[in-house]
Amino acid sequence: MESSPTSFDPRQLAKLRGLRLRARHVVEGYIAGQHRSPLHGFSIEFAEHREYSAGDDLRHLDWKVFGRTDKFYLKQYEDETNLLCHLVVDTSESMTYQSAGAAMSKAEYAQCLAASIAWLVLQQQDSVGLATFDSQIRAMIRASGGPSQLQQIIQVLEKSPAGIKTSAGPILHELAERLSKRGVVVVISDLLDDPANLLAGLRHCRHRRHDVVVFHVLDPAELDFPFKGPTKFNGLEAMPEVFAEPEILRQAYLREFNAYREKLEEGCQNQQIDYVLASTALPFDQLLARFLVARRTKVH
Amino acid sequence: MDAANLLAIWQFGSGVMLWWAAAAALPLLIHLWTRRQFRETRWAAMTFLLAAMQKHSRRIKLEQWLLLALRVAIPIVLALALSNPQQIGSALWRGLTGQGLSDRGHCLLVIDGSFSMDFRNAGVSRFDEARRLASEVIDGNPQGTGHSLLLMAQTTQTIIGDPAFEANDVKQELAALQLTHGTANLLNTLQTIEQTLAEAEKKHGVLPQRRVIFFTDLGKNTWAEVSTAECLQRLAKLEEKGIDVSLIDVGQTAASNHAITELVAESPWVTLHDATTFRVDLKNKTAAGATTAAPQRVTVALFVDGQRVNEQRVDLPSNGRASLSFAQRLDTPGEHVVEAVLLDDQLPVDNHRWRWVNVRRALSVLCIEGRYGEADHLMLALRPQKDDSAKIEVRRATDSELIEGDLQQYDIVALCNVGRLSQNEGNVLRQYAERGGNLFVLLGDQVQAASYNEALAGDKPLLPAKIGEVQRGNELRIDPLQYRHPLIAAFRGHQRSGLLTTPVWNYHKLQPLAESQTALSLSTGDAVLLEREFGRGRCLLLALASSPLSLDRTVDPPRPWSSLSTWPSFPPLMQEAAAYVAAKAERDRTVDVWQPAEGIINAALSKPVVILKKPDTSEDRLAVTDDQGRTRWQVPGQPRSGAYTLHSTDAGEPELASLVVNPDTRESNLERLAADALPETLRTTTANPSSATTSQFGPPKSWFRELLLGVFGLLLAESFVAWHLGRGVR
Repeated sequence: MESSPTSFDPRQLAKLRGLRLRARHVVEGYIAGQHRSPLHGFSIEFAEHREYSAGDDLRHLDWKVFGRTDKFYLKQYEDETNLLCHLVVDTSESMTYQSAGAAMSKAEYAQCLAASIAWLVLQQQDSVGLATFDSQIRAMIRASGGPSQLQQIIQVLEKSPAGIKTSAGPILHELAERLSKRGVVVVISDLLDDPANLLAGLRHCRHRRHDVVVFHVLDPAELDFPFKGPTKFNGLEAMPEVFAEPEILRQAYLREFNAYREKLEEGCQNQQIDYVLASTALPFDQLLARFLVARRTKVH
Repeated sequence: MDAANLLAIWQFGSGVMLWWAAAAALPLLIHLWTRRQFRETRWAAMTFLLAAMQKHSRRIKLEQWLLLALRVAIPIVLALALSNPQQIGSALWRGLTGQGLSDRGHCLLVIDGSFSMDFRNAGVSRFDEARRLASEVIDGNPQGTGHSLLLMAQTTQTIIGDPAFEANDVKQELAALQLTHGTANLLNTLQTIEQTLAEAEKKHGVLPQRRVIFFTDLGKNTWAEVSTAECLQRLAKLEEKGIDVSLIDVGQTAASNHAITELVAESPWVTLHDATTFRVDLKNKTAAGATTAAPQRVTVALFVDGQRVNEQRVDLPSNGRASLSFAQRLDTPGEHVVEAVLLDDQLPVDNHRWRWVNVRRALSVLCIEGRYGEADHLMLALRPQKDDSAKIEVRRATDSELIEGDLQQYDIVALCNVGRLSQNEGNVLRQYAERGGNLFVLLGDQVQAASYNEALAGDKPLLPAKIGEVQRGNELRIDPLQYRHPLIAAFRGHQRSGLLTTPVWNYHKLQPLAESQTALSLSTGDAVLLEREFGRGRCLLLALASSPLSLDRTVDPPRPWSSLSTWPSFPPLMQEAAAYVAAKAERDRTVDVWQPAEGIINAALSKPVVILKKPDTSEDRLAVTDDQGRTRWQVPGQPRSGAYTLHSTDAGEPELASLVVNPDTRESNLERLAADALPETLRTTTANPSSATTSQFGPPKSWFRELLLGVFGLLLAESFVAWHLGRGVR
């Protein structure tokens, strides 16, 4: 994969004002480096045969098979509609965290990622929708492939106010119910919630036959806990403040954090959910490539 | 272990270095400061941070405290190491191992300070050998040992009472130790040992090992009393308390010694241009195993004021005595120091003897007459010569001289039948005697007894007796009382001198007072010649008349009170009396070791202090008292013999007076107590290096290196803990 490093580096993108501009940089830069779209054929027709049973629609009988075998088989068709991509973006307070060395906050990174995916999907003539949430769903745009869809999505993302508390589990349950057409559900969140609730919500989505992709957006500091010297940590989302010696606690913190993350990842794998760790220091092209390669493997 | 005992084990070579322990406050301060200096940040993943803290808070706190304790301990242990602790190591070791505290103790070193310890063998004195061995014992003892140091002497000297835990201090005292020129008192030493141990016990508790080591030549003069009940009892008491008493013998078995036992002037007083005979008595004590018993020829030199003036040789028989006489003229009046020196001997102390002499132009006597002629016979008896060669000068005066004259210029004031004495006259005479004057009171028919008794025999009696009524008898005779009194001793063997045949008819009956001595009495038993000391002077009272002018007029024809003044025995009696009081005055400045001396300087000093210069060139400052224009000085008993001088503190330090101190020649006898005569509790060892080591408590231990290693260990531990904490809690 060849790409301009300046096009995808969050540090460079952070210098650009406006989510649209940032998303365009990401998508155009990315497509310019591709020979063919990784999304192509994603929604091709798909069929299988099933024995006829009473009550089945006779229009779907495969007469050719009947002629050869003298048995009734029904032709079954996959949904031949365009790909439906539902972007579910976390806008809680914890997403506003940005460590000293990071170019973007998690929220900015998530918005940029969501906009880029929306752009990519729309480029492929498919449909994309958006839902933002914190402790509840704050905004929702139904999936569409219309020309104004991207603009609408970007506007919602840009104007999303920071919420207070994350409650991703119930939100995913709610979305699973509300998204009637199955498609690809792309969850972009730091997932700082109870893993059991989260996985239950994701399972619900899978149960509704959605293809689920989780972008776990994390700040590098959350992944590495690099603090030195006595530090007072002011908790977000109504968590208390804590005075600590970070050097002493680093290993214990990482152990706790990694355990949580591994639990999430393992839960996702068990349910055939794509789990993508998205450090805000990671260039977007690598992130998108990792995601799309995984998708392509899954499709073929 | 009580607090005092605990303190006793913390002895430091360089205590000032302990101040570095204050650096222990630095880690604390840094810790507190860093708690106030922190950064602040927002944090999203708080759940995991809180979980980490909750699970490991106890361990984190423990490790932080451990790190802080290590950082505080490093400067403290470093300061301890730099301060060179003497006993902390053994204390810690005992605490850690619970070993029986065997290396800690109180070692009482007792050095024999009697002058027999000055005996030289191959150029090294027994005393030096004792000090060397004691020093070896100190070196050999572990650093935790407290040492006390006693010097056996006539009165045992406590050089270090409270145990000193710094070996160098003890060795310094040991090096500065000087033997005395007197004897040693074993019983007194044992008492002092008990006292010293008791005081140490009171202060430091019972130290686990207590040991008393005598370093002595086992001189019989000192150790003979070891077998007395009291000494044995005290030694047994020490043993009962678990105190180990041992003895290191530094004496030699075959030791011979020559000594000067006496140096006296044969004349009671020394006058100018008159050759005075100085007698030197010598003694030779030959060792039992000596090869020859033949007399040894020895040389005795005579020194006057440090100048060698004469020398004689004499054959000194083995285990015998000899005397030498030096006729020596002293040509300048005033105080002189005469010294006899015996050459070539291994014990130098008793090879010297001194005599202080005051060279007068003549003995000066003032005769106060009650009436003219009363002193004629006395004056003639004291100064029979007509020319200037007389050794006694006499002067006649009336009783007005008592008030108007200066009595202090006379050696003797004689009251010859003075009728009555006023209270003032009594006070003058009392003061005169106090300052060293000698009063002769010769009674007679004019004497009013009540007046004398009131003036001189009242509250502070100068007279040796109260004077009573005149007694009459019929040719009473004088009783010499077996010539016991030294004043009369010269008449012993000279019964025909007339003293016993002196006829007496009248006399004053005397009632002797306390502290008086009777020299002569009458056949009736009544005392007629008494004497007593008063202040630095002396008073003689004769109940008889000293002239034929006193008559008993109750008989016809009147007859004299006695024929004493015209009897042949009168001149020698008066001469002896004068010699007796003069000799007493001479002896005042010739004293033995530990005997105090005193005197009067006929001038007031600008400061009430004089400098006492000692034979070893050291000096003391002594306070003196003013005595109506004169200065009274007192020199306490001195431990070493030789010539001492008193000097003014004025510029040039002019000499004011001198005195001489002689050694106690009982120590000249080098006879030793046999080792088997010692009680079993005393373990005798011979003087060699191994004997010293047998007295050690245990091997010496230096803890500086261990403490320094401890510092490095702490540094490593601190680095490890800090690294471990830096890695974080797993």
